[in-house]
Amino acid sequence: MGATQASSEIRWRGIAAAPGVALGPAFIYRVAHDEPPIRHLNSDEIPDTECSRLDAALTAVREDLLRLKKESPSSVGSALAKIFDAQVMIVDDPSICAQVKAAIHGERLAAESAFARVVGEAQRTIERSPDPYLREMANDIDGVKIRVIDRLMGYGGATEHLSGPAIILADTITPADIISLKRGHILGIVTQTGGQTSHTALLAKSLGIPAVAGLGIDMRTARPGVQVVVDGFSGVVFVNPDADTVEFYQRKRRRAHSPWPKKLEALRELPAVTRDRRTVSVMANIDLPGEAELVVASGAAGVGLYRTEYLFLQKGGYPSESRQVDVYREAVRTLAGRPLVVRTFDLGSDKAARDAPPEANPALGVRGLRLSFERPSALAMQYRALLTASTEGPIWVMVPMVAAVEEFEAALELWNQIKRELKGRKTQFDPNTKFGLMIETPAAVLMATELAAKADFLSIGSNDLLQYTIAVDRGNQRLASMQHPWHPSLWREIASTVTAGHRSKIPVGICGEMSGNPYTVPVLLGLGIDSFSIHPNSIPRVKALVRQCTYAECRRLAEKVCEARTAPEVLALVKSFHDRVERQGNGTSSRATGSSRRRSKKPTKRQ
Amino acid sequence: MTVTNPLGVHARPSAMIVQTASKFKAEVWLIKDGNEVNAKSMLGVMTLAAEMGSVVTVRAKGSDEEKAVEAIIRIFEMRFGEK
Repeated sequence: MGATQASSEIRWRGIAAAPGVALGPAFIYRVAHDEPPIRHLNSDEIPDTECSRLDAALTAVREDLLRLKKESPSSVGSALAKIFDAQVMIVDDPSICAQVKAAIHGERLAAESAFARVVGEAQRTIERSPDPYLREMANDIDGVKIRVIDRLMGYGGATEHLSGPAIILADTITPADIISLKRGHILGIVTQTGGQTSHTALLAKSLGIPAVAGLGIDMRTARPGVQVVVDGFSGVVFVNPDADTVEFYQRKRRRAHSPWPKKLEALRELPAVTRDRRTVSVMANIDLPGEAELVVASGAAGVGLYRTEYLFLQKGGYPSESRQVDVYREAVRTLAGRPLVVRTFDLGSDKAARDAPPEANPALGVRGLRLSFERPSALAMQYRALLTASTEGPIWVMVPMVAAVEEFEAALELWNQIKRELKGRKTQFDPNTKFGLMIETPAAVLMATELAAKADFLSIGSNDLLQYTIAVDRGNQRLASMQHPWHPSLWREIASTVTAGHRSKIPVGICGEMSGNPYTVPVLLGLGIDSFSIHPNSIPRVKALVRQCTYAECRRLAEKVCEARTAPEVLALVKSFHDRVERQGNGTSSRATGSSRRRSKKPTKRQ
Repeated sequence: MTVTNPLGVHARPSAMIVQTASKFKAEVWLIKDGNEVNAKSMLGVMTLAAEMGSVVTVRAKGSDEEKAVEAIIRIFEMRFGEK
């Protein structure tokens, strides 16, 4: 009897919020946080006492939030810090405090009832907003509300602790709660509310925790400890799964942990080398140092672009030097000898610094190196931190947004000055730490020879280079049809950059959307690009493609592309080349080429 | 004083308004359709933002009221630094 009941599987469908598969026991989290009952003060209770209780609770929650912000793992630091900052702003809100106190005095409400009502009303208004981002803020507000009410009602903390690994089932869970629970113990997250862009989903994604949101089901219907399967790919949750489901998902979980399709698995540890033995580096882009682990698992030759701006986008100023040293060390250690190419903070344009004044045309404004020079002490600090971390493994430092030789020279001057300073202080660092720059303005392309003479490496930032070359704003939807990498002008720029770099005997890499595109990879290969930096998930595909081509045929293709007159001509060339390689490769690696075909259905829409 | 903002005010701009308003001693309010909120209140500005149409009035009272109004109008005009 019990057995038949236990085998009745329940299937819930929600929104796939964070990819991955998880199996484990359910932990029903915080389903009991209904609004506190409306409680009026007894005749012997004094409203002023309630007001001081409110003040005390707000102060305590403020401290909790700041502590949690400090404790949050560096790998998710900036995204989370923003949420905590928003929550602190809500705690500090003068009008909430005034309205709650007015309700305490005017209606003789208990502090928790007054607080719940005032905040609840605001929340409901915000939840009606047409703007999904604003609606998401309602969740952040909820996090604060729960904390304050818990304090007021004398509950210990806002969070219980997990005794072992479990799948969290909650009506809603805030990022702060995820951090306060023992993170290693969260196998998966299932929530009644929320969506793909919720802060919780974003956090789950960066922590690699599979999550399904927006089920719209009361989680109390699940029994604590019951087995749960979370499929964060398709947004399905199984409660009490039967044996077939468990087996299916155990297999799927094993596969999910590797970006390598079975047929390409053998390539993981092999170099990206063409059939005629030209080797290139296929590297990965990362935003958070915690992703370095993924990079190792993907079989990448290292990190070709670590964007540090997320580290710098925190309120309360830039990260301290020691914090930065820790972050860089952690990443470089994880890479175990593979190089870490670090782009110094590239704020501005679409990633506006928090305290920067608005600009009429940010893409042509104070961004990248220009912004760095407005804050030379922050740049000096980052250089120092990178050099200090360089004893742990190879770090390459990359300067963004260079438009003039003297700009790069100024950066180099500062870099050398920091090295002398560290030497004077007898701080250890790797004196061979490479210092190079991104080529992402047409000016830098035209001056590439002079720049290459001073640099240890060049890296073409293809997204910005395209934007500045064809003078099309990356964010302008009306010009979307022009935003493709088939412009011959772009290819001639890449060709001359590679030539300039190789004449100075330094490597030339490329990052940006086009470096992982199956149509463009052969041309880049043919132009002599030494390294590609792409999304970790694209690594198997690009490696497989490189291994199917010969350098000789790619060179001929590249020559034709550089001679082409129009974008349609370029597109026709790369397409026919790709299709030919695909036909040749059929059988040896059908999976790779199959996925290439899918990905390049609309080549003009890419980038 | 009237300000038009075709893009609407969402969470990030809300934070900008609150941060800017908080720099001044004066009390600062935003008014829309008779709905008035304290511009130094995150929740207040967000609730207004949730219902935001096109016309918002800024009002301030205090020693630096003119500067406060100007500063708020400036960030609206700059479209909160967005494109």
